[in-house]
Amino acid sequence: MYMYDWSVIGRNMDVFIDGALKTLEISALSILIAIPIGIIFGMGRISKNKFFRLISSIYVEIIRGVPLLVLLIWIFFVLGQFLKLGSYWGSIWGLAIFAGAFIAEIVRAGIQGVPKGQMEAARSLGMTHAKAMTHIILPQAFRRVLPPLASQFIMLIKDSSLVSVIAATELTLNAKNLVATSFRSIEVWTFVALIYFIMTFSLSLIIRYFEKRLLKSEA
Amino acid sequence: MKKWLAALLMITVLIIAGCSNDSGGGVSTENSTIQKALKEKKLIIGMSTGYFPFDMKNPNGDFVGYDADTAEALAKALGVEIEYKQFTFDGLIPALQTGEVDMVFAGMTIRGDRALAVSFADPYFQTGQAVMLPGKDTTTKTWQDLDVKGKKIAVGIGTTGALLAKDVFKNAQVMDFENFPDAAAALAQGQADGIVYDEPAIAVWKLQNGDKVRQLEGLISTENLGIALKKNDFETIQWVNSFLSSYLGSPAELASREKWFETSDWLDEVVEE
Repeated sequence: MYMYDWSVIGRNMDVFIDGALKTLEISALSILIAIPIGIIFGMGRISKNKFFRLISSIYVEIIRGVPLLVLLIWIFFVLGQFLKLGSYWGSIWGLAIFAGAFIAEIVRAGIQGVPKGQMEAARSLGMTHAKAMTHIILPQAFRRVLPPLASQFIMLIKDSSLVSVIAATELTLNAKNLVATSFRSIEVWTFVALIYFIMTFSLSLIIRYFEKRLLKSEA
Repeated sequence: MKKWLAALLMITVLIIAGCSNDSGGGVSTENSTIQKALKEKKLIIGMSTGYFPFDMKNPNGDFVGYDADTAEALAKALGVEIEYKQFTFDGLIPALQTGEVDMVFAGMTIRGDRALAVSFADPYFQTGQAVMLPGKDTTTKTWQDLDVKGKKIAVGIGTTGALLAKDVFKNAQVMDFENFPDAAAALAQGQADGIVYDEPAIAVWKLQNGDKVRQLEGLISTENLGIALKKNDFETIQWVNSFLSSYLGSPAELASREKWFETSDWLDEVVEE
């Protein structure tokens, strides 16, 4: 009953390429915003300041408890009323706020994963707490958080497919539009899945390469 | 690496080959939608919601509206039960193509490109594309006034309004939303400057929202709506056409038309206050 016609892919390659580039752009900008958010709130989670710790915990728990799709729609339609973010920045901030909460947990685990003795040794050498943090703990934590941070970025590329619900142009929205005009849903979505896989898989190969180099430099 | 790719390709090919097996071509009356429905005593109707006053859901979760009335009359004439399946508008034609649903009642405009993918019964309603503006915009006189760089036009993804807007608006940016209410919400918040959508839906929205929105006078286009059926299922196309010939203009159809298009009492039925 369903007749396959794969020529739709070749004829619309520009639509796929534009969409994939937009997906990468939105994901990259989101992760750039998400990393500082994650570092601030990740440190906040283990801060000695009670208020800072509370705010950070509330942020992380709320965001982790709300589905990304709902968060995006909420940011666009509710916050959008006041902030006039538009689709493009609305989706970037939505993804950044979402990923930020997960990065905060990665950062917290990274810092807590550094053995306690490191801090004690630094303090006994006369360093202040802040100095020990920036010179001793954070550089070590940095190495631990890199791999999970990289996989968070891969997750973000996949999650970015959801921003099509707030009319942000990227691969998934382009594909939806192409299906609406070509009615070749099976062909289009199969190819879209392949593009996402190529993007994420090549990224994880790159990450694996850098991880190996990092391990070597440590040894 | 190469082995990986080979394995991946193999799986893809197998899946595709598997799919095509049960898609044997040819048109025989035994396989027609009508025969299948009569045998199973059930007709599966694909619908999307949020298209006033054709396709809506009441608080109980039942589909209501002009399309649901038509579908029920059709099922009654056929002597079968209806099972509704809900999709977003852009997912309806794929659902029909893959056999997820038997017919699509979605106020779907008959278009040449769509008719290459599915077949349509004869038109059952005539309407057109209209433009909705925020109530506070009193300066826009024609849709051409909106076609300015920086202006944003909200549409429903995959709808005729979307295709038309992308065609006629050269400078304004067209934003694709999942459905009409989402587009209207974006308009209400000032995230869009206008909406291109079917006239009846805009008229109903105006009924609900009063002066908060304004409808531009006149239509950008005139369109015929049709029931979408499986491609080249001639027995079904013919039967649905015969049904429509008897249904359109019948007392039941006139009552349905009056209820959904000329009064607004039903708004309480479908909208939760």
